[in-house]
Amino acid sequence: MTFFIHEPHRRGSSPLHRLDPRLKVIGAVAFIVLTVALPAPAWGTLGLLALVASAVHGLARLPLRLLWARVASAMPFIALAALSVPFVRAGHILWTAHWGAISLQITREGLEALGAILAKGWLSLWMSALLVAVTPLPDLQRALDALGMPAILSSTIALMLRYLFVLGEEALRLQAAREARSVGRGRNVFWRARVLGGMVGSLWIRSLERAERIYAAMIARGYDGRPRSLHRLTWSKADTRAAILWGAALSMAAALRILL
Amino acid sequence: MAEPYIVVENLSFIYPDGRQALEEIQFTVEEGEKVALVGPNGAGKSTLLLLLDGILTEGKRGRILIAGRELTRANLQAIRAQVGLLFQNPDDQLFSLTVFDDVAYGPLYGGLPAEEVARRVRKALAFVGLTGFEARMPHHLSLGERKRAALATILAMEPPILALDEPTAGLDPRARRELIALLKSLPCTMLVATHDMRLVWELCPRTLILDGGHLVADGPTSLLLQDAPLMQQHGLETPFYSAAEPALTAQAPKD
Repeated sequence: MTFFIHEPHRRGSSPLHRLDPRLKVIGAVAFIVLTVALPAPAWGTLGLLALVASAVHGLARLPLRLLWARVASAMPFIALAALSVPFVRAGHILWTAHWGAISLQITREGLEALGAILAKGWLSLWMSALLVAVTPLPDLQRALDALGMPAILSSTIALMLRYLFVLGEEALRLQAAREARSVGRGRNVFWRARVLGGMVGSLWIRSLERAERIYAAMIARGYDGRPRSLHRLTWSKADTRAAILWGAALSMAAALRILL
Repeated sequence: MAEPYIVVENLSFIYPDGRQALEEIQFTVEEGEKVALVGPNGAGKSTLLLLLDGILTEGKRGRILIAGRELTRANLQAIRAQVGLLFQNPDDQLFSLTVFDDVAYGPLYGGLPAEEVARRVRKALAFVGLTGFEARMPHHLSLGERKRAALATILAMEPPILALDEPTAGLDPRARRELIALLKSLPCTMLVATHDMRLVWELCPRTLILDGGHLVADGPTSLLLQDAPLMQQHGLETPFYSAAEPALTAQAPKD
């Protein structure tokens, strides 16, 4: 029986796929920093950045629905964090609710800030989804390594990416084994939670044991606690052109915010 | 005559939880010999391989000598470079993001220059028939491919000794045949822990039987594997499905 977990990278041969992964990482981070750091109100600039993201998306030749589904799946976390903003921001009061001594007010400025946070979150997640969709995971890790990420962190990320799939598939096998033996929806929610708890525990113990075997495999091949790697990234003229183009696009967006 | 290549003297091992895994094991192996380690689950086969590679050190008593050098804390790295240990589960062995990185790992930690590392990787992958798989991620490979990639990771270190733990477990017949052919073509000294009695019959002229942490038999494969009462007594089976199977008998390797 095989279980397959989708990885974010989509095989392709677009110009974006071929770019140096270091450029893609720096470019995406620059876009996200600019987006997040824009002082409000910046709807015009956010619109321009959305156009930039659309252009990149078009270049990558990827299905929009696929990437936006990924963005949407991460949005609740941002929404949850931003939920209190319309209530706490001072300004023009649009709506008030009273429960005895407690009163809640929603302000126009608060709603606007909430909208900006959601828009910025959407754009940042979109760019991140684009980055991982056009960069194979090993290249992504290599780029972070080459950009000076501490070696121990970089090898932790590499191990995590490698075993994410192994563990994910193990979890799917456990789930299939449970489903094969349970008819209907099971008893009540507590019973199901207990079964789930058992599965998580079993996965945890398996992971610990696997970690020991992996460490043995590492020291068997000479691991001495010092991460080493071979960098095999090549910067081409196309990368330089893309870097200049990207720099120009982001500068224009920043300039627009200053001028308006 | 020169000293044997591998010497194991009064080797005992107790796991941290107090379980005695091996007791007073004693044997020697000559250079180039291919020796099978058979025995029921829990007999101590994997433990013995881990001890030979210096992975397990706490709880060990007795001596192990590899090429005349005693395995001690001081020369652990040198011994590990000489013994290529193939783990049972290739997912434990292939811990890097790409096949290239994994096969390059041993040579890289051996301190070789980048060009030599790349040459070793090419050679090892070509040997196991995985040329062109360099950029692939291990979880995209079939089990047979992962087993061969795992073998490549130790071949790239060019160790004179191979310690293989269940090399054919879980492989389909074709992948298994290919792996056996690969192993037969290697000149290395080999210790093969396995339940695959046909593998033993075809690859290893000599067999050690472990049971309950004891070395209960050490002799020519052709004798031990045909001794049905001995095999059954230790939870094993002969590689023959019926008494009359002349084709297999004809294949038995000679010392």
